[in-house]
Order: sequence, then C-alpha cells, then structure tokens
Amino acid sequence: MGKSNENIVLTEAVYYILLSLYEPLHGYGIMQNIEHLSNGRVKLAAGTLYGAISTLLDKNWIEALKEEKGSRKKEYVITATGKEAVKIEISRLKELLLNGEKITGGSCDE
Amino acid sequence: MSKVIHKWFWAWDFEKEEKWLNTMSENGMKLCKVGLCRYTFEKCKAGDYLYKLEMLDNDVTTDKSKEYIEFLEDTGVEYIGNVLKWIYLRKNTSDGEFELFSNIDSQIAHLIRIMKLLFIVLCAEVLIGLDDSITFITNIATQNIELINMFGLLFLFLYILLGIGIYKIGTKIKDLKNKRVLQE
Repeated sequence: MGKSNENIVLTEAVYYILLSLYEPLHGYGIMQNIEHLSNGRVKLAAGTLYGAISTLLDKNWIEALKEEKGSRKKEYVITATGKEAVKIEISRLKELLLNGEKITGGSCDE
Repeated sequence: MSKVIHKWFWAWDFEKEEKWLNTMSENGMKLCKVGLCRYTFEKCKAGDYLYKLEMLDNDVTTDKSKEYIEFLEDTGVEYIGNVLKWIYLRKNTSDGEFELFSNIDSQIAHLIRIMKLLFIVLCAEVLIGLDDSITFITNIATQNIELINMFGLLFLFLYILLGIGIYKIGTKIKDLKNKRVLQE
C-alpha cells in the first residue's frame, strides 16, 4: 500500500480478471465473463490466464477458495488488496479518459 | 487405422511443428499419440483440429502441471500427450481460434522458458565436450590431420546448432519486446 501502488499500470487482462473476481469464479468462468464484459473484444487465452492467476495469487490480490469435495474447478476471489489495486486503476483510467476527451474534443459515444 | 510418422523438430522450431500438425489435420489426419520423434495419426474429417504446443516449467507428473492441463481441458482443449516437458494440445476448429497466449508478456515468458532450457543444454555440452573441441581445433590449426578428433567435431557442430537455436528464439523475443512498446 502507499505511494508505490499509484504508479502501477495494470494490463487489460489483469484488470478484467480482478473485476471478474468480485464474486468467486473458476478459470473458465473468468474467460467467459471477460469475453462478455468486453462484448467479445477481449478473448483471454488459457495460458495467459493461468500465468496471471499465478502472479495475482503471489501478490495476494486474489485468493483461491477451498475446493468443494468432488469439484475439481478451483475458484478464486478478489482480496481487499486486490480491490485497492482496482480502485487505483479506475482513477488512472478516468484520468486517461478525461484528458483524451478534453484534447480530442470528442465524447466517448462518438 | 493409424499411421505412424517419424520426424524430428528442434525445440526452437516448435511453431514449425504446430504448422505441420495443422497441415496434417487439413489433410484429414489427426494426431492421437506422440513420442520422441514419433507421431501417431488417425483419419479424421479434414481441418477438424488445430494444434498447439507448450513447454511447461515443470515435469508433466507434478501437481502444478497436472493442474494446468486440467485447467486447459476445462476450457475445451484436448491433451494428447507429452514429450519431456512439451505438451501437445488440440482444439476443435469449430470452437474458433486456438491460442494459448493472448498477450505479448505471456508469449515472451514461454519463449524465455525455452531459451533457458537451450542454455542449460549448451552448458552441459560445453562441460562435456570443450576439451575435445579445443583439441579438434588445435589439430586443424596445426594441420595434424592424423589426430582428427571426431568427438571434437561433433561437439563443435552441437555448439553451433544450439547457438543458432538460441539466436532464433532470442530474435523472436526481441521482436515481441519491440511490439510491446506499442501494445500489450
């Protein structure tokens, strides 16, 4: 926490993975959710997702839930630290958007 | 009825290997079993499958690797088999594009994994064969033809071969890093 976090730029994949985990979800569910959230624009590949999940677990931005008996689909959920990171990212994105619209004189609906 | 083909691909040519498997699929042959230099195919509808290879960080028997393979299977990917740490995967063409890595960072990470392996092999070869290679070179230089050391020649050849492989992967990594300046 603290100043160092404010200069972190999340990748699009990580941002959407974190957003997908405000409720517990398993790997394949994350992929489908992201494709849905982005209207089909972001198709996260399995290898990339798995690597990102590994890193997010290491950073404690997400945690793995205890597996239900018989279910082999591990579920993940965002942690408080992860939510902080998302908040910071959203203010960063707002800043980018405001500046973009100001300078290009357009609105995001065009 | 199955057909067995013997073929060798270098680790740095895994994309070539993927292309070959995809071409076999277009010609109505699907890969069912894989071993060292040994590919077993069966007839299938033309273009039914797309193939991808990945070199894992850990042995396929470890928990981590098993977990990853299970994860891939949950996403509709079929696991065909492995040769050492290389896993062979296929997906139905009807499911759309088949990629394992959708951003540059994860592609680079995979290539670095392969590069590390090549370096380890090169180091092992240097440890084993440096002596012989130097003897070979000095013999050539001093024109001592009778003492030509075949082992030396072999190892020199291997060093060059691996050097080429490492260079090829290094170039791919460099190109991806350049691409990453603009995009993810």
